[in-house]
Amino acid sequence: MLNFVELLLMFVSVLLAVAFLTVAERKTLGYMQRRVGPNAVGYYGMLMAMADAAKLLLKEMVMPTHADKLMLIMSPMMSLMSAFLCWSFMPFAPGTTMSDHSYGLMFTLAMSSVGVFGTLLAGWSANSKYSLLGSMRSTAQLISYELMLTTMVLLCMLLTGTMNLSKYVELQESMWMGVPLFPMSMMWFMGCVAECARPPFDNVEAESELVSGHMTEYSSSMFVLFFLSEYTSMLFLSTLTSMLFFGGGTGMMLGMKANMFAFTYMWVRATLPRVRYDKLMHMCWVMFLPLLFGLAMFLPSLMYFMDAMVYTYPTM
Amino acid sequence: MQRLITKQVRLLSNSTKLYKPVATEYFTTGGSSQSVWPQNFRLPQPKTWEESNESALSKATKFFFLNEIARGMYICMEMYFRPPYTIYYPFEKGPISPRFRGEHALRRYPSGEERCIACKLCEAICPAQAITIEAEERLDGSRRTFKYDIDMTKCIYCGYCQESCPVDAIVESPNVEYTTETREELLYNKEKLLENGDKWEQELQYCIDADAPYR
Repeated sequence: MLNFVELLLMFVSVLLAVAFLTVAERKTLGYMQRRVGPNAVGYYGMLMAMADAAKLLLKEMVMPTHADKLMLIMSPMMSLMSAFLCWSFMPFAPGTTMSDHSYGLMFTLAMSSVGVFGTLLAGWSANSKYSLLGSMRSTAQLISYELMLTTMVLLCMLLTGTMNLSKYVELQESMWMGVPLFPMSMMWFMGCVAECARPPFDNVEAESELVSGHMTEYSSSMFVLFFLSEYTSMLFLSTLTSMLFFGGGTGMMLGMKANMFAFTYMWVRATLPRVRYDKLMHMCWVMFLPLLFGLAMFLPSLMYFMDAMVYTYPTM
Repeated sequence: MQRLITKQVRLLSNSTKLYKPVATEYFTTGGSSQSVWPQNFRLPQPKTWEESNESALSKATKFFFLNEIARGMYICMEMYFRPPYTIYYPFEKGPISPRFRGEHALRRYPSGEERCIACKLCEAICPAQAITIEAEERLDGSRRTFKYDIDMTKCIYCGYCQESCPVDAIVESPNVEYTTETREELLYNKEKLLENGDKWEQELQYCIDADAPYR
């Protein structure tokens, strides 16, 4: 029972954080464009999240006639579930985690991969060419950048020698991983932005050019699920960034770091225009991945060399 | 030695048979002659690598440290901390021109007599045919309208009625806040227009005074 309450408490707080992140995004974007953004609902537009949710949930749900209904309903749920399950191994403080598992980071990687199926099946099941093409584009983008993120996580695991996130954070007390791996942390952040399909890499739903990608046939509450999963994964990846490269932290400290990265997502969105799709793929496969595979050879060699040095000259 | 270099050397590539100078007077756009940039258009030719004295190291540094992006993001952050331009509309309003063309009004003379003499110039000139006028002789023998309707849903706010009026009777007031809940309320009759005139007379007078030097 207590376990269940604990679980509920965490997921509700994640949901609330996500809800207010949407308001924060609109306000931030507004101020960066020298306007105020939502300011009418609640104090300074704070309750806009509730108003938005009410609006979206009360809308009519339009079901395409020849769609695969089961898959159509299941795919946003898959996206959302995978985005939520990513949080389950996140240590908010020492010992304050849903599960302090020694393969936590592996599980997180696996769960974030499952999210791609939601995107893929959404496009397939809607029986609409726009959905299908959109989902093809987004799936290609997501799996490419996931490869990149996975490689980086593996490298981090290699350097710290642990897959347990609590232990990983503990090991960074002497030095943040982002210090020796600064270029990689920058690459990581770019990969995160692409993985969340956020601007400037939002070719998935480039609303000025396409219909809204794989979400074309979705409306009302099913669209909400996709929307939530996008923002959940965004918040998750910014938390993970602060954990993998910037030392994690306890409670408030972690929150502040994660907030800083979440803010950077919006900042980048306000600054940069959309990247062309082929350039996006080019950046992943031709620029980042070869570099990362090079690093994946270099870092173990370096570690091996240093270990050898320690054994050879123990007094050093 | 110096003379040797400056001397025009006849080469195969220089000969007019092979080397036809391309249009360097202006930039051609996409090879079409339809839209060429005007001469001395503001974009200079980008410098080639040997013209710009930038080192490869500097260029590489700029590339890898995302120099341009960082500058763009700095500007964005600067804007973030500056006050927004927003006008809080129902509470604040932006300035409008004295010639602003909003809701219609029929004006009166200071004596209270209505100005309109039913010449029907406005009805004739109205491009949307939104104005309907019926006139008859009043008991005192003057020519007046007994029907002056403006269909506000047809009106395109061109201001021709105002321009054509010889006695400045029909005017467009600076008011724009006259939304209604039903369509019928937008079919204005003479009473509504005269009422508008009485209500907005002061503002209308200000507008006319402000615009007088240019008329």
